[in-house]
Amino acid sequence: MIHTDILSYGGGRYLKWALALIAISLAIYFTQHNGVQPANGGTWQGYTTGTVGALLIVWLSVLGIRKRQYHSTLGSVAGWTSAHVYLGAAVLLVATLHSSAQVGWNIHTLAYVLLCIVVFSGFFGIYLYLSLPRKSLAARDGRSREQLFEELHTLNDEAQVLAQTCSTAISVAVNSAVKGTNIGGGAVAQITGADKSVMKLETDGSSKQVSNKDQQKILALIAEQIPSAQRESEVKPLRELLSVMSRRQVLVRRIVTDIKLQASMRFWLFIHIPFTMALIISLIAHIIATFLYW
Amino acid sequence: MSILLRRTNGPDRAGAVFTDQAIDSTTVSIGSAPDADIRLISDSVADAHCTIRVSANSGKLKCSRGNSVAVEGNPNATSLPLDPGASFVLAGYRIESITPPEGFDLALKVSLESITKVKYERLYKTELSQTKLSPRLLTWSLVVATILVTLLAPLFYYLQTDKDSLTQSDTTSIVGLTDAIWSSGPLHSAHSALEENCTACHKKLFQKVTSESCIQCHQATSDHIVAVSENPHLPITANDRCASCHREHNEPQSTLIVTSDNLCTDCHAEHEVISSGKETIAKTSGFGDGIHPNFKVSIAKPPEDRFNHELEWQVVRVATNQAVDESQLLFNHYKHLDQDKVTSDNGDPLNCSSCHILETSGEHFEPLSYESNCANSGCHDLELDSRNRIPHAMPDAAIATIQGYHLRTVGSSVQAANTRVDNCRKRPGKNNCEEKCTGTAFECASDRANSTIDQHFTRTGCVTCHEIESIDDRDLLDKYQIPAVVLTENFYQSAAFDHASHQVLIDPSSQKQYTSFDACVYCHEEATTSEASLDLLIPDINNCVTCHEKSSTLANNVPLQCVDCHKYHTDR
Repeated sequence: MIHTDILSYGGGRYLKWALALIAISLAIYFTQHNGVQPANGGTWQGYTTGTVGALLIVWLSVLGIRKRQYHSTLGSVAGWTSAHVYLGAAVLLVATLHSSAQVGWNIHTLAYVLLCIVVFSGFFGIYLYLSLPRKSLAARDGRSREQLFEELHTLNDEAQVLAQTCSTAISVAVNSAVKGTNIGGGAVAQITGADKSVMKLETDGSSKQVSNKDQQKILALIAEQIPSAQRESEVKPLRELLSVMSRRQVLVRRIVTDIKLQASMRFWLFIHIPFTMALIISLIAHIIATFLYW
Repeated sequence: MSILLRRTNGPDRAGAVFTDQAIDSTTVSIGSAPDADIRLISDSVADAHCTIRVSANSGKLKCSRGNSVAVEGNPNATSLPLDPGASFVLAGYRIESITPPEGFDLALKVSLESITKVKYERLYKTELSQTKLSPRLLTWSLVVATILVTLLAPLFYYLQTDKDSLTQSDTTSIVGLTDAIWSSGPLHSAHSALEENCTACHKKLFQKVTSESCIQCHQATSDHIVAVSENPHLPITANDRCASCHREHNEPQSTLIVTSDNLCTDCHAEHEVISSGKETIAKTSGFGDGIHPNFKVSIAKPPEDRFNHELEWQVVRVATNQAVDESQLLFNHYKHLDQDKVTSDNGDPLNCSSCHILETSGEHFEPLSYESNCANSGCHDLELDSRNRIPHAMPDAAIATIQGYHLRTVGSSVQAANTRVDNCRKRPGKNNCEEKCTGTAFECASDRANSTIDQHFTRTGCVTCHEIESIDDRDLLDKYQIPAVVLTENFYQSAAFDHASHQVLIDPSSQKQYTSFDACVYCHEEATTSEASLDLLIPDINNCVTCHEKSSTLANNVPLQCVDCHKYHTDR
């Protein structure tokens, strides 16, 4: 599995590197309590951990470039990713030791906060990579997204053909329910899986649009018609229609869930990458400002 | 216009099921957009691919720029009259104009021209990349905002600041962002007024804070080694920059004042140095037994002619264990602390604070004086009666006052017969002494005055506290000479001592606690036994190291840093 490859790449080689980096940084940090000044980013120890942290951040950012260089022979992408995960976690501690937990309303703390956002969004990304593929596969029941949509389209056709044999009200309702089924949509809808499905309901010669969340309304409407049908020829298409629409409901749920999971898997990168760029700018400003007002 | 749209999901063949839709419009839009009247899902169909303008019983197809449809003989037609029977193909769909039923102005039949695989997912937005959420936009927004907030806005503020001013009240900022956000931490409370005014200290970008910035306010602070510029062999850069030692922006873990012993021992552990007073200061590596020089007191020494009040006293430095107190005041500590001999008005024994009142600084005591400490107690007042008092510190005036008093009180020989003669010192509970005089009133007055003068200067008055030299061949007014009295108020001038924090002591050896009087005597132990004024009751280093030994690990031992007692800078 992919996540196993990343975390245990090379027998946990980069985990050892990260632990060694943390140990060295801690050792450097604890040499600076000499009574002249408290531990802070301005001691030689602070400059050392700061330089290591800054170089590490730049190197970690390069992963995005390396990932796109398919012909590069500079290590494997799996190796780079494994190092990215472990050393990215370590850089949080290195930066904390560099700052000696001195925080305030200034650009130095801003850089630290941005680093925290980047690292913790990375942790969230690892969690997603570890858990979501399995959940997504389960949601799609082992099929591809394309297969699900083809099946949905087939069921749509079947439902619309069956609906034509039923009453006008059912026909209008089924057609509008099929057209009004909400799958995906905007970013919020995709991530939250919000269902804004609608359908038309004809009553007393006029029609109105009502919510058809989770296809509940159309199923209820069809089910209500079955007991009042007078003849077997009326009941049969209604039963078949109910069966088709129920299968369709399950399918829609699968698709919406899959979209939600895939969107989540993409969304953390929407935080991780833009904030990484902001972090690099903030880091440059932090270094410049340190020497502006030396 | 009424338009009929007749659709089937498959090819137009026998058995195909059509659905009809009527729309009222003058146009029919064709494309992949969700709101298209005829929506065709395909990579080759644009959102608004083409439009049919409707007129009575016919229509005209027109494709939008860059798009086309296939017609018989022309695979890339961009317009087409749609009379009944005309048709075109787009993305595998055939759209044919058919004869409109009654009541319709145009009828269009949509069917599949050929079976092609349709990506139905394209009907929906199922990827974040299809939404308005743009990582590129978010990235650029954050980058621009970060540059603005962290660099441009504070730089804009810095460029407008008045570098020569300690306040920046009129300087314009962008949304309140000043160069203070470049600060690496809060300032010491003493500098808090400068928190928003970086240029008060940081005069130039990329330049370390210079001592000139500090001297703007601290003109009175001297260097520790004034002659450093004249002595290039000194192994330190003590007078380099104020900020070499005084590190700001580290609050609340204040390091504005360096407390490390290294501040001193870097030099004083390796070298004997000569202070500005030309006195050699021995090597020291901190405070403790054997590693710190023995104490020396700075004590007032009388001039050779002690009775000449015009001569100046010298302050001399003497090893504490060899020093004597030559204040010229005769004072018996033992007797004053003996309850059988001296008590306060309410009968309680005297204690240290009966005379030694600690100043609010907690370091020194209020100066002792005859008026406050001796006369006010009622024990050593110089009253002749309720209206006549012998002046203090002026022997000639005292003699004249005594003489005048007796001349006034005796008055005549008649009165003199039973006149009280104050030849005894008044003491609480004792009767006044009485004696007879048989001479003239003047003679009696003179006798009694001489008797009183003699008593004060040779037996129980002035002579109690002062050494008095009697010169017989001088006029009476100048007969008695008293040496000037100078009480040393600060015995350890180059060190500070906080009496207030020593009012409760715990002996590390015995873990016994001492408070108030016992705490005083813990250090000034000879105070209860000293009968001689020459006894110097100031503790030596041996006393201090019992509680402040650097190498001790005893509980309640409090090691001292050099700066706990010594100041690095001196005031100009």
